[in-house]
Amino acid sequence: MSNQSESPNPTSSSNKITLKTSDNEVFEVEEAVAMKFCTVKQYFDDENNNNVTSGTSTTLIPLPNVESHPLAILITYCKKHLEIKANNADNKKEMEIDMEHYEREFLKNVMPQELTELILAANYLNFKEALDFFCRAVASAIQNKSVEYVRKFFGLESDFKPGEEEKLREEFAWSFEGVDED
Amino acid sequence: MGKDRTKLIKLVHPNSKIKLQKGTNLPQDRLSELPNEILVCILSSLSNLEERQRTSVLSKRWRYLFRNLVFDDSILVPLWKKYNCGEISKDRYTMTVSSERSKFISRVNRALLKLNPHDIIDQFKVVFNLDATYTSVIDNWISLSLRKKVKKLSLHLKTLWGTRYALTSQLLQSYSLESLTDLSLASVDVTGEVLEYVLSNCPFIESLHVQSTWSLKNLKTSAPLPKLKHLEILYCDYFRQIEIHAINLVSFKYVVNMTTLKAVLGDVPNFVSLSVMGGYARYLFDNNDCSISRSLSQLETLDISYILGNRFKRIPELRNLRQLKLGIYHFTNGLFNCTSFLKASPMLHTFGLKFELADENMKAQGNTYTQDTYTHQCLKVVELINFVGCFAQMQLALYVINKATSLEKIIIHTKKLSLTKVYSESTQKYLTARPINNAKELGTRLATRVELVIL
Repeated sequence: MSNQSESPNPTSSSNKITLKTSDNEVFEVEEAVAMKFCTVKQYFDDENNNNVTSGTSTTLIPLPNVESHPLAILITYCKKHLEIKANNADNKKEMEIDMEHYEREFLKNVMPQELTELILAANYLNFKEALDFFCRAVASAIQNKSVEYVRKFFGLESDFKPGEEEKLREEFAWSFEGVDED
Repeated sequence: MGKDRTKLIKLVHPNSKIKLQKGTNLPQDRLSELPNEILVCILSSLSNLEERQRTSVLSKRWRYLFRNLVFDDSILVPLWKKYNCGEISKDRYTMTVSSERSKFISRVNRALLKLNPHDIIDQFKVVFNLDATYTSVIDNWISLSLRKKVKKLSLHLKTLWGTRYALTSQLLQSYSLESLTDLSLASVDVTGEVLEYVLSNCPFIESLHVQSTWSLKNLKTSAPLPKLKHLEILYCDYFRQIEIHAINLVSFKYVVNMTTLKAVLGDVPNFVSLSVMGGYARYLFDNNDCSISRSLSQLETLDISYILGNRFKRIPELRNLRQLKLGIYHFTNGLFNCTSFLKASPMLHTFGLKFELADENMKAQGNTYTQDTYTHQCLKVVELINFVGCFAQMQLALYVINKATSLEKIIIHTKKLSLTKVYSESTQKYLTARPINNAKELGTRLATRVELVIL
């Protein structure tokens, strides 16, 4: 991910915050975007409380649990989210429609393996809207799929004792009707 | 978080096929890094019960994540349709329902018994045709879920024939109701006294929904209900008095065929959403004698169903109203009422017209109003619900559309025909195609800036 793509808009005068990922990429983002990441906000608030005189321009916030790839996607998502919110400030329903439209387009460019990364990153950053959205996206990806498919999707192994799983399948036989073929 | 990209689980695009080979290296379980809340969030986004239940077979960790115990009768829907179309007899229908019922009961019982002693339930919801014969079963479900500190309790018992199950305070007295935030009862016999007991003992209750209960005549509590936000009383034909103090009430839905209601709600500064039937709406507009009618100017959302064709002569100024839905049952005075509501709501953004009855031969009366020069500056979205496209519907729709000078979007929900009314396949095709064609026809009359969505 190039830092250039996240470079600040020269006409904007708002504060910038610098984020450093686990793979040592540096992202400069607008304060409004960074504040959507509650983890960053918390860090930022703590820093300000500890050192009142320090300016924000030099603050570099390390994100040891986030890689650059999901972060870049989250920043794009967050910017768009704020933009849609600003455009429809007085109309919640319109905002939801625009957001839904954007999210549908967004998913077209995201591979399922990225979704897992994105959830982990959004969870670490405590970015609630994104987390909700990705959870919904995962749900629709495993909708109507077999247990085997879903295990593969999540990278899980069955850890039941022999026979246990069969028993469960028998008990919940009603829930196995109409599953798509893998 | 692993930096080695090759360690990332290789997920397969949902549209492609996964080969299930034995002995292949399984990728590491990266989702195991996620807390349970997130897995539950994914779980709850799955649309149906089968989906959610199936995840309990994934692994030990997933086995008991499924805490939203929702049991419904979706399995009976095709049967109900067949019965409705006359394909099967009432006896056959009742027989099949009763055999499905015993399976349903054991399924719910098993799920509840399987819970570990320290498990808690977020939601317990039962939707099934169950009458008073099953009192001990239902009592037991309620006791168990209350013991498991249930937050949302819903019983929709759908009794068609037979005596309804009655909820009593004796049953509830043995348990703490402190965990309860949402209570929803449909086709459950419940009196005002029982509800008073529930409300007085549920300090955290936020939402109360009571539907299809004839024994409910009033609802009164002396203690304030500071948490209550949503109150819904639907189809309780004998309900005529409410006296509560719910300072944080946000929405009130009262869909009862009653033109008067003695309502005392106290101060309701956050009250913004009201849903009532036409007769009661007129009563509220005409009489300024209760907290609801005094709060009308606060409303942001207003839904009035079953408007029978009377004139709404005295609509107070609805200066905060953003969303309005009118259920048109009878087209008489339709144009008059639409104009009156538009004039009363200068900030209106979305206007929904729901056609409750499709009458081919009706005209929306009052042609003189089409000539008036009044226009609405704010209205952006018009929704037409149950649209068939008969003359009166078209007339009313075009009238509203022409009044809205800043209209951006029109959404048409065409009427889904119920199977009972369709006798042959060809009629069905004809009837299904027609509303869509009429909707398109309406689209040709729109200005180019207006987006048309047909559903």
